[in-house]
Amino acid sequence: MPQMIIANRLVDGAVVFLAPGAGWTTALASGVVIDDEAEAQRLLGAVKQLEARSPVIDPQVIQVKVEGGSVWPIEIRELIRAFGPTVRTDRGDTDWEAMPGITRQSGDRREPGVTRVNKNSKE
Amino acid sequence: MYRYDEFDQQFVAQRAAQFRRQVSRRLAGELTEDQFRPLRLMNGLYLQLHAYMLRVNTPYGTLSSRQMRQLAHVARKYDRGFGHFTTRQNIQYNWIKLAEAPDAIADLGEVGVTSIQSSGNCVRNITSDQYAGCARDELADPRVYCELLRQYSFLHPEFSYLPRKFKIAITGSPNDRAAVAVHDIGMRMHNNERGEMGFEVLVGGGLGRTPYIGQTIRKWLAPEHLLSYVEAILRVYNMHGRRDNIHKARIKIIVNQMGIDKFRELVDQEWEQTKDGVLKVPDDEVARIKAYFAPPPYEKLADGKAELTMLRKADPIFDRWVRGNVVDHKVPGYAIVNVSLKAPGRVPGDITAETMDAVADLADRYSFGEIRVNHRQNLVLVDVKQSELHELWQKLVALELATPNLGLLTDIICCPGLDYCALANARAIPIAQDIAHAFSDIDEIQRIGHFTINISGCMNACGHHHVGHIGILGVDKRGEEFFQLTLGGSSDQHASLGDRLGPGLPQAEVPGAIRKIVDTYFTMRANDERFIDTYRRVGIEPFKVSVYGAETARAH
Repeated sequence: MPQMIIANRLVDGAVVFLAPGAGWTTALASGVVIDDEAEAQRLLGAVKQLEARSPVIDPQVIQVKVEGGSVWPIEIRELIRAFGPTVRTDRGDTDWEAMPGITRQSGDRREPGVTRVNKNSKE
Repeated sequence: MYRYDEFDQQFVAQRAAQFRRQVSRRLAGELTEDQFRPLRLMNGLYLQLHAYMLRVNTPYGTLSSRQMRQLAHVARKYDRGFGHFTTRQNIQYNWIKLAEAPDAIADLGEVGVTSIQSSGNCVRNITSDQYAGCARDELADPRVYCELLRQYSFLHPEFSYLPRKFKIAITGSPNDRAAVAVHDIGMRMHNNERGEMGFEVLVGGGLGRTPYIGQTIRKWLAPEHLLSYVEAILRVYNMHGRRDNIHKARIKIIVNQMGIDKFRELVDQEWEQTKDGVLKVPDDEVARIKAYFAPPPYEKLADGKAELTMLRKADPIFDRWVRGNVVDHKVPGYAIVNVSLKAPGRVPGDITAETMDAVADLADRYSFGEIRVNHRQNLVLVDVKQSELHELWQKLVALELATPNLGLLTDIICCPGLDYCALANARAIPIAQDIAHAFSDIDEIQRIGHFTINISGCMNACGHHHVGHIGILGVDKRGEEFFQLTLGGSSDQHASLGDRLGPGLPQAEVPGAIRKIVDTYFTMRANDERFIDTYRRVGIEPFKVSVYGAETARAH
């Protein structure tokens, strides 16, 4: 399954994706899609190795799918990270209702059988 | 209300400067995230899904209009122009930039507001009754003792690294509006048989993945022993709390594993050593703090109910609002006004900077410049003249703050859920909005009567779902959001945990399920019986059958 590397930008926490050339982009469509799991893990390892010098925090590999030339994260959590909250269009949120292929109803873009990491431990 | 003295002011300014240096070192690559995380958390700065989130304390839910305007300023300058009031009477900003966080914290410090101890394994914001000092049913103002405990526990070296966070709530009224039974320590002020005021002390309450109602550890505690007794509890917790497992680290786990009698014995042993020592609270110290909570200069007014009744008769919409959101005040001629942040379609607890400023202006004009935050994510103007209620109501209507739904079905508690929170399994806000939309007829929800719905996006239960008459818990079921309903929870003086209704429902089915529960309640309630009383009388089965059908209900 295609994969991407997602993280939060250190300076402002914004959601970013690993881009071609080892930079980071806030645009999902500009992120690099990695078809090989081993390669994704190698790139993740390289990002983590930067430690304090990294411009991002909490980098993770996420699963995506490519449909009609567009990239979509599989997990709803990552969809929300990619496109923003679904509830405050008056303050800059993405208008999910207006996005093709996505509705606000739950489970609309999910594939059964996909498991997710449960990280329910509070800071 | 309490005002920072010179020492407090200097301290928070220094703390902001210290954090500024820490942030600079992090941005310069001199600190790793592992080294930096505890430092930012000590200043209330979390990393959420899309950005950093800054949690700011409003001690016992009391704010001055000046402080509210500064909250608006922070929302406008450092965030996207809004904030979110929480179930712990705090405010959270969702879009803070790390590089600007020290500036935001310094600006808040200028008006005596801080984010220190809004995170971490320490004593968190001490919460209380939003009507404190004004309620007719109140024995005494609990904020005096909240403030005493706040000063005692603020940066207390022995209790800065507890096994887990620690939450304290105090009510001065027999009608518990502060949910004290679901706190690590809850206190209820009451008189003993000699007529002396003191505290019933509950311990080991809490929600999260292992919910418990607090148990009485002491039936009556003299106010002079407040600090020593709390210290004894904290010491026993510090010694015995499970540091090996974050999910078993709260005090509720050891209280319930050990049993309340054994826990009490350990606390009493500890307390014997200290109760008459330096922590004995001198009367003059209580008097000093009481002075900060002196009543405002009320005018001597006659009870204005007759005039109010005329206005209510003339305007049924005003009448509906008074019936729903206005509460009697202990001083004749005054009233307590609840300001709803639950207009249909809005995000429960969210408030824009413009509205914060407007509420501050209303507080100055109508309520001695003071605003309260309640744990159900609404605001309160506590000292309004009855004769000015109509005028104030018109202004609240214009601001969409006059939805008359206090304590009714659409006065929904709702955590940020998966729209913002890094821990959530499912969204919570859209569920609240869907329910509010389905029950947008105010006359209907007033007919339904007192009814609480609490929604959490994960088992950490920030939305207090266990103690909602209907609790809704978002769960992840093979990658999809589902919503688990519980019935029969309550956080008042008769606190109870809800019972699981049945299998989780997809989002689209939740409002319909609520409708079926309400319909069943209507068919079963006796006279004006509240939903919770009907539920306690008839049990869960009729509701289970109405939502799932007889066959599925039998299987679960």
